[in-house]
Amino acid sequence: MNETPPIPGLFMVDDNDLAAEAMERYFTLSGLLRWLGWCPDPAAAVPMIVQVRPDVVLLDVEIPGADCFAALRSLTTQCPSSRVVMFSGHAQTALIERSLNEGAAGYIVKDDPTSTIAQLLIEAARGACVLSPTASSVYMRPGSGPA
Amino acid sequence: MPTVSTAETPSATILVLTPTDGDAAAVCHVLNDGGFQTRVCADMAALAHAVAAAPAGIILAQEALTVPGESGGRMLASALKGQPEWSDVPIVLLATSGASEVSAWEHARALEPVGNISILERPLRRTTLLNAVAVALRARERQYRLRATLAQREEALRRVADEVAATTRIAEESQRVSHLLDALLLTAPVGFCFLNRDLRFVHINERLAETNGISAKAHLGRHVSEIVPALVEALRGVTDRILATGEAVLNHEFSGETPSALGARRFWKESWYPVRGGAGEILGFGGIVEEITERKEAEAELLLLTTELRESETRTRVATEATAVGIWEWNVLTDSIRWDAQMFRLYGIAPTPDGCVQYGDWSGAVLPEDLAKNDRILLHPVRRGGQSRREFRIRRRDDGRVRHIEAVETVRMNEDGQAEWVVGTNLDITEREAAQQELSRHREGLQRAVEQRTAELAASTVALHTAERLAALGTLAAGLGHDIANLTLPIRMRLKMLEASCTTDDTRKDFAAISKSLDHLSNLSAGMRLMAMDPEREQASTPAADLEAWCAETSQILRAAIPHHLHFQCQAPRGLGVNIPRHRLAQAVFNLVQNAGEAMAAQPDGTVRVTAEAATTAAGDLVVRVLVQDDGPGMPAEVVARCFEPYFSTKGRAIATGMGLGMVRGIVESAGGTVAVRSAPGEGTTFTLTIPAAVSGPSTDASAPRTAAVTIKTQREAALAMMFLGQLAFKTHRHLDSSAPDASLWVVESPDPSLVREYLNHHPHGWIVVLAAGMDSAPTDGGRQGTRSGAGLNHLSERVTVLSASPSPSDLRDAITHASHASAAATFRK
Repeated sequence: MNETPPIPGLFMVDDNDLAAEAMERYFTLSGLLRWLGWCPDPAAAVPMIVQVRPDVVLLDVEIPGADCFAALRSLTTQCPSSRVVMFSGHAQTALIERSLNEGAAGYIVKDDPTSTIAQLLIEAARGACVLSPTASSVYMRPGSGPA
Repeated sequence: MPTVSTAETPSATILVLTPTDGDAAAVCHVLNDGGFQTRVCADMAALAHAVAAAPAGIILAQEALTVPGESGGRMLASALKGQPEWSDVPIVLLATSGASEVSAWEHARALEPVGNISILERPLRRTTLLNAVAVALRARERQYRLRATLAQREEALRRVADEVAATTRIAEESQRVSHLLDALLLTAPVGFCFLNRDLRFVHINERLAETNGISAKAHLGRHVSEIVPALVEALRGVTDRILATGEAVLNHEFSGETPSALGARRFWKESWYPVRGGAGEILGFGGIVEEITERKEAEAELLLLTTELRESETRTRVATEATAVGIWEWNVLTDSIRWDAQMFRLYGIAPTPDGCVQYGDWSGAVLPEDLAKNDRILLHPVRRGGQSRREFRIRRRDDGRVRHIEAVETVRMNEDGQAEWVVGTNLDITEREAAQQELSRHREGLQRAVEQRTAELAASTVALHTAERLAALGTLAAGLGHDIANLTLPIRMRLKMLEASCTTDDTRKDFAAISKSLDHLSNLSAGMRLMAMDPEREQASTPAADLEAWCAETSQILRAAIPHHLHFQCQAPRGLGVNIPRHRLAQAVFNLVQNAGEAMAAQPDGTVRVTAEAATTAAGDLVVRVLVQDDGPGMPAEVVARCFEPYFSTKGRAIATGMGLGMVRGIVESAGGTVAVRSAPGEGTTFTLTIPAAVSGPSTDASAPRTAAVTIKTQREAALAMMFLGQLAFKTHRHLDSSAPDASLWVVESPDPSLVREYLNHHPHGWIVVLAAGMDSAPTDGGRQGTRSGAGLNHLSERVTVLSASPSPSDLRDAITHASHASAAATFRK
């Protein structure tokens, strides 16, 4: 019997309320993801996320006055079932590197197409690690080779 | 006035005065018989006269005192008064026979005050007379003896008096001399003092006291150490020497300070001598002190001046010799010229015994073309006095070398205003002239270098300012890119929702227009991010492996680099790529586009094109040419020739650094490419960037996607590996069977070596990335086969890359990327 996979639940942490509202509306109408909530403050978001246990968390990398990476670390220990994808207007190697090192499931740049963002979030919710095209164009540089 | 005898002994004569001759004769007779000398006086006057001869005695008849008409008694008394005080002539008064005893006594009493009277009554007996006379004469002799004794005593008294007078005179003289001496010492220009053997002051004059700083009176009784403690030791040395030798110490120099001038060192010349008592013992020490501080200072100053003078003379001589200055004298009146030894050396002429030379010796050495002018210059001061300075050349007589000489002369004039003496110097300045010419050449070179460096510094200052400005612009661009992304996100989200509701053609057109604008905005944001990246960081972005995508990413920002009235095109055919980071290529092309836009800013119309084309070099290598063309005014040949020089610029814009084309060339050459420019006035400009083509990676080989297998139990490492493989366009699957997978790349965790060998055998171009426990520390077993350690696996094949069990995401990425490229290259070679 083929079971339709459950629709992944999404929680967003972003101080950009316009973006959060647009996301909520888009995902609700499209039915691609279940909108579980939104919080502009990473520290305040952690207990909310622990409570609602979303499949995927979209966490803004840079929120003025907040430590987003501290929230990432808290979530990987307090809510390991939730996959945290970092979300940023910057595609910087150092930010991507740090995000992956500290347990993020992926890195998406806000410039990337909407459909791509939705698809990557679904993949992340299902256990994959994801890099959006813009993030990939920065991070997948030719390295110096393995040591 | 009768004279009185001063004989030492009494006369032996007895004066006899008897008015009756018979008595006189009888008396004389008796006395003569008795051994006495007699002398008969005729009368009282004769008697009185004879008294002056100091007779031994007088025999006087009473009746002689009573002669009528005569005052015999007074006469006799008068004569007797003339005797010396010690003399009392004895008188034997022969009383008149028959007269009263009273009468004779009275006569005797009358004479008693002046006479020594014995009365004999007549008739006389012979014995009585002789006895009386003998007694009288004995008394008379005693008078004489007393007189002699008295005379002796007087003489002794006189001598004593003389001695007293003499002593008094000596004392008075001594006192006068003492006062004089005191005055002398007091006012003497030297110090004087007397110390007892204990070195206590007994006497000191004001001069010396003043030197010591306290009054003379305050010195007395005090020890030297109380007054001048600094000098006591030296003084004790002198006095000890005097006590030891008994001799004076003369002209001994002392130095030290005194209470009157503490801190000031003073000098004295002192002579000390022993002061002895009557027995020759040393009572103390007399000192004569003369202060010589000023003299010493003057001597020191004189010595200093003398030394300085000698040094100055030495310096002058050394300087004269060292600088090769020759000195000459010309006695104008006698017309004789003398040179010193250096002059002869300068001119290469053998010295004459007396130094005398002729005018011709000098004039013959001076080069003819310099001679007339120099004579003229020299004659001027000779006529009017003063100094002259000349420069001329000579030819040395011995070796013929030409030397440059600088001459200075001073003329001494006599009272008549005529030159009588000229003294001058000659200095060989040949080397100085040469050095000055060399210096001048260096100075010119230095000036050029300074001008060049100044220009470079100015340019680099501008560059620095520009770099700062560009850095600020980069930060701004990054911030703007971030903000644009944040702002376009909700628009794109909501637009996506509206997409399904666009049912009419008009709404679909509107939707498409809005979407296109958004894409432009997103591209602009992406382009701004590329421009904001550090050009020095080669790895800030991935290579522009797809130039078509790169054109889409950068066209908006490149467009922004030229004025709006100009046209812009940016396109590349599909499938072209270059191995330059996208941001560096964007920045290089941005520079060229910006230059073109500025060159064409004044034109009403024009187009800037960015295109790309594939080409092959003469050696057969695949290259991509990226062209930036404009139809602007073009550049003259001289500008074309210099346009790649650092800091070269023809522009006046604020951010013109001249670095643009240099940077472009640097970027292209670092990728193994070249930059060429073709331009001419009126024909526009074309820059051609010829860059080696990027190796076609698997991501561009969509026709045959490669496969990858991931055999990792840990969910996170597995997910990361699959993500990286997906980014490299691998078709990836989890392979959890205990077998070797069928894939061109295998990422596996702690595999069995046999499976690794099996995979390598079955996939000759396949690569393995191994996550192995024990790789966190260095291997120690030398990589033996058959173990499950990573070290052992690493040696199975170069196609095996071993990482730790939990590698960092970047290590995993690099290992997979490397394996992917290596695998693709191996496949390509196949």
